[in-house]
Amino acid sequence: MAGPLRILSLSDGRGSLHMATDVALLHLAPVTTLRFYVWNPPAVSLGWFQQEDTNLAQYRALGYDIVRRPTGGGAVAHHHELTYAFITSTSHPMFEGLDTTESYDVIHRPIIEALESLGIHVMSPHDAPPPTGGPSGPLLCFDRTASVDLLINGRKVVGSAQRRITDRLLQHGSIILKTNAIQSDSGSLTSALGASPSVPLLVELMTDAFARSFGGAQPGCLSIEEVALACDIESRFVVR
Amino acid sequence: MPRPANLRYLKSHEWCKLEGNIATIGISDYAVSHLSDLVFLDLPEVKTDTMRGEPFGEIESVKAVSDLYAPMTGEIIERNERLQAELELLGKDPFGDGWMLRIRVEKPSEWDSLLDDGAYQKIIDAESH
Repeated sequence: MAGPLRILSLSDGRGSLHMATDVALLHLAPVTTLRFYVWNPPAVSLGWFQQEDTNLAQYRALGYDIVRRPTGGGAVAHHHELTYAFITSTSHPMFEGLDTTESYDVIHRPIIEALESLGIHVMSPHDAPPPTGGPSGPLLCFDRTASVDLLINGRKVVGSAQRRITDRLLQHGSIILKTNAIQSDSGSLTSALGASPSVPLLVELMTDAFARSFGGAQPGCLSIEEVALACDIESRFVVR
Repeated sequence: MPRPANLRYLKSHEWCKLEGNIATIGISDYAVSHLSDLVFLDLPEVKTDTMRGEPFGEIESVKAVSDLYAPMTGEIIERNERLQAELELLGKDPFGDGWMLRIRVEKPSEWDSLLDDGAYQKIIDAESH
């Protein structure tokens, strides 16, 4: 996966196709790739190993799709958020030899830089309180904190998770713009700033920060093969 | 942690021990230390098949799900039921009580193409430099 960072333009669509696209990129992306997306309609994503529970009917009644993420962790309600997905090789010079937690740090660094350019202080996992939750913890991911979450004012605002195959990794994560009907107690950029930054501004700040971290970036688009694979596997991520 | 001398490996850090036509499979101490904070392990059912180089299971740590790859092709004859409830065995004894599957191998010649301990150490050294 040599060459400059490929940055895909902001995508707006259903959650199952977003998840399938992230996995298609994990398998096929020829270069390190960053994409951004928003969820339309809103959706609740379940972690790969997470059990379905009775609240799902309630979420559906609120207008949320239910999808399966290819990554670990708990359920996330995706509404009023910007999601990023970053795909690279574990043999990339910035990731070679890193353990899982360290690889989160490398990808979080430009995210922290972008958010702090808005004038807010982001707590990295290393200066945050001890994690809460775990496999038997709350269903919703933003009701718990993990050692790899980013906090603002002590509340989780960026939650990320990974999927790894052979020598490649996908990390995707939610940046909460404002609370939603399901995660009403989570932190958000709105609560930190008094108003939500626009999605295009956030994408621009993050694009610039990732380009600085990874030695440059080029705009790109999905290949025909990546789109075809995403369409082929989308049904794997639908929860009926 | 010293590694048993009679094991062979995949580059993706799965180990394999061959006794007759029965192979025991697990993941190395290096893999366990890099995954850290394991929370869930999914292993396939007995009487299903593994295919050399193809995923046979998944493991979750710090919200990261990783595929596990089969070193050899064969039929699963036993899986470590204790391990799924006691993931800490992977940290305590990855080459012993932390074994994952036993398979009846179909292609014994696949053993020859697995990494011996020296070649596997070079993989670790390259990743750690």
